[in-house]
Amino acid sequence: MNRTIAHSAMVATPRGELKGRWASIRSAATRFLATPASPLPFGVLRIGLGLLLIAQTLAVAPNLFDFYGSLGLIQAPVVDAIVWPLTPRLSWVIAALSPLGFDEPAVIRLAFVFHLLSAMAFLLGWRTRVAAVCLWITNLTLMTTAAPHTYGFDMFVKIALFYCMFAPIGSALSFDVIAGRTSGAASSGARLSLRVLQAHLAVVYAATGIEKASGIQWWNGEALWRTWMRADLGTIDFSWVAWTPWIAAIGCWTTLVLEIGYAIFIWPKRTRTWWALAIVALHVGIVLTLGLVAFACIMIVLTFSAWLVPYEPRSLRAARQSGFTVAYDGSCRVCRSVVGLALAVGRCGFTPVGRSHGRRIPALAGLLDLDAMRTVTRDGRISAGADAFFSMWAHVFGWPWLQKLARLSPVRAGYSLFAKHRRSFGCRSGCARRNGVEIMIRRDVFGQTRADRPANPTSALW
Amino acid sequence: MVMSARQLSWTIAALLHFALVVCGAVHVGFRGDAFLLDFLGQYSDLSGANNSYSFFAPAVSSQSRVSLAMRDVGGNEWEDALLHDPATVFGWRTAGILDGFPDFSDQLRRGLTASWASVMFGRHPLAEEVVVSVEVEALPTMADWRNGTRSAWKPVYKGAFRRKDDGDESNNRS
Repeated sequence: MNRTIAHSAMVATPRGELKGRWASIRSAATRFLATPASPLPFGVLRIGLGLLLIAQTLAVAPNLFDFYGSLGLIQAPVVDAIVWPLTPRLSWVIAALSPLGFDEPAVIRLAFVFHLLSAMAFLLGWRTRVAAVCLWITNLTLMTTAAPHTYGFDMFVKIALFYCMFAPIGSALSFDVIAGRTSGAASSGARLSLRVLQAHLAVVYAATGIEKASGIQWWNGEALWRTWMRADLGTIDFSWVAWTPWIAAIGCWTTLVLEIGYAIFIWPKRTRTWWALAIVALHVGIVLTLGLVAFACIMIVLTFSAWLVPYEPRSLRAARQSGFTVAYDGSCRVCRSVVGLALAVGRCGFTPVGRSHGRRIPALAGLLDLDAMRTVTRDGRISAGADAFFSMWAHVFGWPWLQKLARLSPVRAGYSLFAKHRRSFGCRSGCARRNGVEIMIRRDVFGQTRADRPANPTSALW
Repeated sequence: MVMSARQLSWTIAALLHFALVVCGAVHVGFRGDAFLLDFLGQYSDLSGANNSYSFFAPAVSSQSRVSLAMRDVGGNEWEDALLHDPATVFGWRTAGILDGFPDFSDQLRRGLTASWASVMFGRHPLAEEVVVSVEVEALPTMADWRNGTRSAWKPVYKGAFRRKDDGDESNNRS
């Protein structure tokens, strides 16, 4: 019997160990891929991408028919021979709309305007998901039609727009948040999308670095020499580098180290910021020496949003420990968005209170009607209105001088004007004010509107 | 913390997509007769997962230029530039096509030069023949530059196109 017990123990231990290891791997993978993350990086990505797309779209406008016309510089049959068969292109749209009387120039203009409008909606974060899908389709269609004219910038726009169709890009810094169509809360979708973007960028830099390292030109400095001496790219005369070849060699080696090292050193927190900043500096260098502005900008936007924008949700405990409290009208959509933004981007957290201020903040006990923002510091100092607004920003960034802005009379007047009309910019649950008393307007199950007084007329909804 | 079924599905989809990104980065393409290969290739193209990121790698390509010479029925010859303003976005996007020209297949080279010739026939109604020449810059190394060698332009392609009787069609002659 003793022998049987000993045998089963010998078998059970490795199995138990394996199970334990598997459980810890699964748990680590879940933490890495599914822990809720802030959608702020995608808000930044959306704005950067939107601005670049609009700028590029306007830049190609003067040569619209040279780029996209069937009799342009590269004719349609040549394009059809080099693109994938099911990738959309303008010739399909022209064929589909010609029975309705649309000729080729009209379709090109129509597609172009639709692309521009989608990019604007995307930039503002208005109906963001629909805008992202429309923009991806129009961008892909225009890009395929002018396929030979595309370069690295278009490649990364295509990749970023594909991710934007799935990522929570409208959940931060958007009109959708102000309008209450989406919440700016941390989500596991944001974490997974961010991890895919981060991993993709790591592959991009590692692949280009390794491929560069496989050629002799990137070891002896000739690569940078050849790049700098190109008349179509070079912005400065670099012929003097021939007499100081070590400059080109050091430039090449630095590029190799930064690009190959990106895949490794961008992940640990200790090296992340420095590596990302070095990559940004590399792209700024590309702008200065080669003039590839759009390409450098898209790479900076991608690296900045993926790695330098804070994405870990602030812990409530840390926020409470700061001892700083912000009381605001939680039924005002703009107020909620501004406070949410301050919470997301700031270095120092605070406790946001969007309703029941009198009950939840002892220093504000007895305050029923919150007609302006209030802040309460750790030592109990209360600020109101413009003072409170700038006090909040001064606290989150750790810049006390910001508070002085509230002393400017135009700033105070602007704040008062906004506070008075804040409900005009959007109000949760269709609330309105009548004779100074907040009225909640609700729709009943039959779609009829009824107005009634809430139990506590000043309690704002979060 | 345990993943929900929805989270797990999205995670698996993301991992599959990432696998295609890695395939693209290491130059593994999906093109073939099998449906799955075609599907993966088309998906990779639509999502941008098929890119290989060979920017200025493994070597920096040489700069190319194109010249277009026209001749009318009387034998008069003149030249025109493909781009009137190379400094515009359109200009340097087109210059990017020229950079890749030496590596293009013969079929693509013919297609591109025929397109350019066709543009010239449109611009110059009296032109009977367009000769398209593409040259590539031979930039000396830093050591050769120090020894006094300077850039030279070497021809890589020359094609002549004649206007067809029915007007705008062009025809490669050489």
